[in-house]
Amino acid sequence: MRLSLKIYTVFCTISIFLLILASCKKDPTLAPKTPTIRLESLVPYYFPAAHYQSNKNQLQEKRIALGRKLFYDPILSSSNTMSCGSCHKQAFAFSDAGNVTSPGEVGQPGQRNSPPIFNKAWNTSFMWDGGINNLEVVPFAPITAPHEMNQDVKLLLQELKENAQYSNEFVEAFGEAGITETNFYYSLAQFMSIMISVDSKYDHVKQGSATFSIEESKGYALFKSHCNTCHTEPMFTSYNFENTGLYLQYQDKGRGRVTSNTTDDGKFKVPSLRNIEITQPYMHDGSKQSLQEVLNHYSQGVLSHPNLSPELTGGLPINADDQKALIAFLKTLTDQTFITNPDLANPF
Amino acid sequence: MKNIISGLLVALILSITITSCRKKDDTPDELKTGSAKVEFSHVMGMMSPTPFELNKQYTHHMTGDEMTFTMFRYYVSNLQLIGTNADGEAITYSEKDSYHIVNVAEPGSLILDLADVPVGTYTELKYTMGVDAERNTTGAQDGALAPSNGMFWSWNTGYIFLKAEGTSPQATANMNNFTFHLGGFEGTNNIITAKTTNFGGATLNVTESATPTINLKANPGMLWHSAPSLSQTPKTHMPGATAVSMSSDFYGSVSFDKID
Repeated sequence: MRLSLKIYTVFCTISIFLLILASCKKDPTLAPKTPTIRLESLVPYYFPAAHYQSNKNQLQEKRIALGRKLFYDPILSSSNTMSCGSCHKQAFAFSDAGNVTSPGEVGQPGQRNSPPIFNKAWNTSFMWDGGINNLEVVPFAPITAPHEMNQDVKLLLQELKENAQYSNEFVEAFGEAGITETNFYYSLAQFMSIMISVDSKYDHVKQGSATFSIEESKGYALFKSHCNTCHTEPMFTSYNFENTGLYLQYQDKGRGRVTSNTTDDGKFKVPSLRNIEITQPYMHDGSKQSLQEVLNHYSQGVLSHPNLSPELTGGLPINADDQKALIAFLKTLTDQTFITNPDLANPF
Repeated sequence: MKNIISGLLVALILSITITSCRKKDDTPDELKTGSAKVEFSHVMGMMSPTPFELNKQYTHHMTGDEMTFTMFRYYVSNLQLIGTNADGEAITYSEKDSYHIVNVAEPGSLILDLADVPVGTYTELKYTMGVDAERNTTGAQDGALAPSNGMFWSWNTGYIFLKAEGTSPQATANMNNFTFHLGGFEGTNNIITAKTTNFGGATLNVTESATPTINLKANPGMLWHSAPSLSQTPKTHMPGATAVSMSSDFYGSVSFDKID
């Protein structure tokens, strides 16, 4: 008798509690409960914490898939002929397949070499001059630039809304709000976040599952002596802006244009060296065609610009054999898994 | 005994349930709300200001430039009202998602609707010209802060706080166009400006029925109060000294007119 009374009381309490919960209005804009993906779980232990962490934009499969679709969809450009994938090709670590600069919608030339896309969630700033400060608003620039995709975002959103499949997919990924400008940027930011390159031979060596050849070892030692200050492991960039003495006068002021400080003229963001074997040509203006040309520059071609990185004063003491070894090491940074990953490929 | 206890327990839980979900009719005085408006009007000229209109030629009172504006719009944000509520307690009302683009080409945008303002007597309006620094770095945002509103620098992230465009025969260096895009939120380039008005001693009475309006006046011509002629500087497109000085003069001109 007493036991059934206790059970009855507990039952009533619980059901009333549930009723209270149910009567409080739910936020209809919350996405359906989907497991979130943590970037930390996808990268080696020696990676630093990601810079892009958005509580409003937590990584979820459907959002990533949507971002991937948008990335490869030419609907993003004004004449529906160019997508992000047009200048960011997976086989080249999402750089532009050997083009010095990339042609726009009607063939207009650009001014800077298309950067590859990987490990962007670790960037503290975006573009060669670091002018963009948040991953989410990166696509807004090439999409709206007249010499690139030449698109009006309000018109683009209208086009997406007229597409039944996109309308459904946005609701599935984001909830009732569906296609909004913010959700559009969130999707692309999620896809870019998931483009992680962590599986090169260098990474295998670091994790103890491979060893460098003698030449590669020699190259790695030279790398640590001469390159690591700016191309800091394991991201292979310090994310700082440096002047590498390419010219005595830079037509493209780079960072100087953003900060309006002449001491920043000719400084550009240190690019990551991961996948460097396949992201030629090199430098902000694509002026170096091969890794050999780059090393020729660093050993004998450095010009004394007032803003030159101190580490490069007088050039680097690397002879022909050293350069051969360095190139061998740099090739160990190529990540075949990344460039062949079907989850990052064109879904169309 | 146990029956009574469990009965009381159920009754207690039930009464908590019922009283926790409140109907508006039972709202105590201090939670009653009404609305207020803030309305911007624009004038040109110093001595005898006339209403500012687009596509009308003005001769600037300082530079002498002949100017015909085709665009004039700017961000106003973070509106707050300070006063006392119906119970005499000091309160501060902060508008939610308080970001607005005041655009003289869109008459509706000149009136900002402040919703859910606690009933009370207000003596001060605080507002910000521009967009606070945090919002300039937090990525994608909707509404007035959406990048597609045309008030956002794509390659150098940050909001364009003010756009003034038009034509002038003096702007020869820029094909007779003048285009001023003012912004900047960092260091010495920061032009975000906090403003406040105490209504010249008047008060704003917010009730559940009437909607009073705070009228503010702004003078676009003040952008060139200490700036050179358009023949020298027909444009500015990035944060810097020009934006700092021009915005300072214009933002300084925004002032309280009346409450009605």
